[in-house]
Amino acid sequence: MLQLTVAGVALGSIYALVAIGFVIIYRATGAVNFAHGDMVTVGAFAALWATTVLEAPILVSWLVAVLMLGVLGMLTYRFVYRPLRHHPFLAVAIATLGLAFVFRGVLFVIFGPQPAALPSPVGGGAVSIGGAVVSRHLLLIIGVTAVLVVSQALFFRHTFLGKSLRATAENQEVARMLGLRTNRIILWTFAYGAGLAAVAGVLLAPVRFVTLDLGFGVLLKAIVGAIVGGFGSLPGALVGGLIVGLAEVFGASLISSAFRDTFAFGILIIILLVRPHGLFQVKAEEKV
Amino acid sequence: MIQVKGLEVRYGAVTALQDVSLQVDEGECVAVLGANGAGKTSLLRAISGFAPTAAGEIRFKDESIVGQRPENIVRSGMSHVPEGRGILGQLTVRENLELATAPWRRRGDSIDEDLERVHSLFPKLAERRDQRAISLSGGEAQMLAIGRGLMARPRVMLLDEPSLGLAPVIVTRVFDVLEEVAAQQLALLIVEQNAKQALRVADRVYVLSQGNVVMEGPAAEVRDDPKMAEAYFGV
Ligand SMILES: Nc1ncnc2c1ncn2[C@@H]1O[C@H](COP(=O)(O)OP(=O)(O)OP(=O)(O)O)[C@@H](O)[C@H]1O
Ligand SMILES: [Mg+2]
Repeated sequence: MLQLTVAGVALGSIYALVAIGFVIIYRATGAVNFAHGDMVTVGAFAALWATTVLEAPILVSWLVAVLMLGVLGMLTYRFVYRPLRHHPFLAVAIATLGLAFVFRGVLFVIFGPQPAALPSPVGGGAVSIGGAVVSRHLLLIIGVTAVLVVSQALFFRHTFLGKSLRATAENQEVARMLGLRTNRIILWTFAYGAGLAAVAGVLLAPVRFVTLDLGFGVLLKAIVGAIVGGFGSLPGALVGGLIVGLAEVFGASLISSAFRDTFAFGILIIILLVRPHGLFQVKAEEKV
Repeated sequence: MIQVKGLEVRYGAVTALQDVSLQVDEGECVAVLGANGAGKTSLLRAISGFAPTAAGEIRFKDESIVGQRPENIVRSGMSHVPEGRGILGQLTVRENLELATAPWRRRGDSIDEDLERVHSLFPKLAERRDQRAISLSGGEAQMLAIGRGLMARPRVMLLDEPSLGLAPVIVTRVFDVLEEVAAQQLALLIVEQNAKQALRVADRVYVLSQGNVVMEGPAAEVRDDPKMAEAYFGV
């Protein structure tokens, strides 16, 4: 039971990290980023590249991956979002879908189709907690996510940049009227969102293998989590991601692993029937 | 401080302003009066860079600012208090005020004195500092919008219908405060439909009708001029 809970929370943490990055970019620009899942994949490959080609230690490879994705996030803003910022929602969404395929294509050309393994900095071992055997890496996933979520909350509450990000997300024109350089602020938002995707990628890789499909399915579940939580809400993205992870792990183990993906969507339907706007409803005025 | 010459603003086929010229000197309080749709908001938005200037010239501190980014115009010393107040409702009152210091604040600078000043002008904002701004009443929200404008330490402040949607008592309070800040060498450009209040605090007045300046002069003269009523309420 404890084992399953840890596995569910760990998987949910990955979904939460991906959902938070996705939602942060959505809030800053009002646009979705369907390339976000492939950014997770790129992050894992970037770490793989750093460990194999640069022969960097694992933790250094994580740092490399996060920095590279930060830059990739900025480039995505500069060359995809900014040129399209006056275009309809759907045009931007489709452009990011195209970008996702570009990422995949490039990764395929560089790394080929074979899956590769990215080790965990804590190794493959397990610890025993109250009789249950729990993988160290899963605990690491939960720990890293917890630290990130808490620091992010403090950042948004207590720093000038954090408050500027919230102001820009709420009303970009008013933010500019206050003298905030919203272009730069959104640029940092993209860097941060993509950086979170890289963290999710390097945390997930030791559990799954690094493949071209690593991030795509994760993004779908993360979006389900974000909707379950109330789309647009950051606490919602966290809680929704955790719920989807737990549902998937418990459903697969207690009922049937053949249906593991069904549980995420089952939860989505049930929660939306009970609360049509998700758990943490984003008020209308918050979206404007 | 601000010179506008031959300004034209167009939205597609709609011409909102044509050949508008006006001037705001250092420390001066200027009012622009106009009815609904006269082009008041377009004028302020063109000056602060939010509305496109189709023709004409806008100078601020002897420099042309046409085509500059709004945030950079604001950072060079022009506050814009928008129509409808533009409160960031999800942020607290204090956070709204704090962010408005972006034009001058560097790491480690204290904003306490500026906050103190705004709180003494608007004691209600001190009481409500940690509440989310969405909980403010209309009058309080307008006070926050003006307070935010002051936090930027501007040379000139643009105000778009500060009386909009407020009870008469509150309108009087708001204009009392504007009179007080105008006395402190801050230049004000106020666009209003409420001629009585605007004329009370302004040094000079322009009347805008259907996108044109139809009258201008010292506030004292316009106050007693019957043609003013015609220009303003006619149409
Ligand atoms: N974004 C826009 N797109 C198209 N037309 C616009 C736009 N903004 C204003 N207009 C038009 O330009 C004219 C001037 O509008 P503006 O908002 O500047 O007037 P106003 O004096 O501020 O009016 P109000 O008293 O209603 O605030 C109006 O005819 C209006 O319909
Ligand atoms: Mg207006």
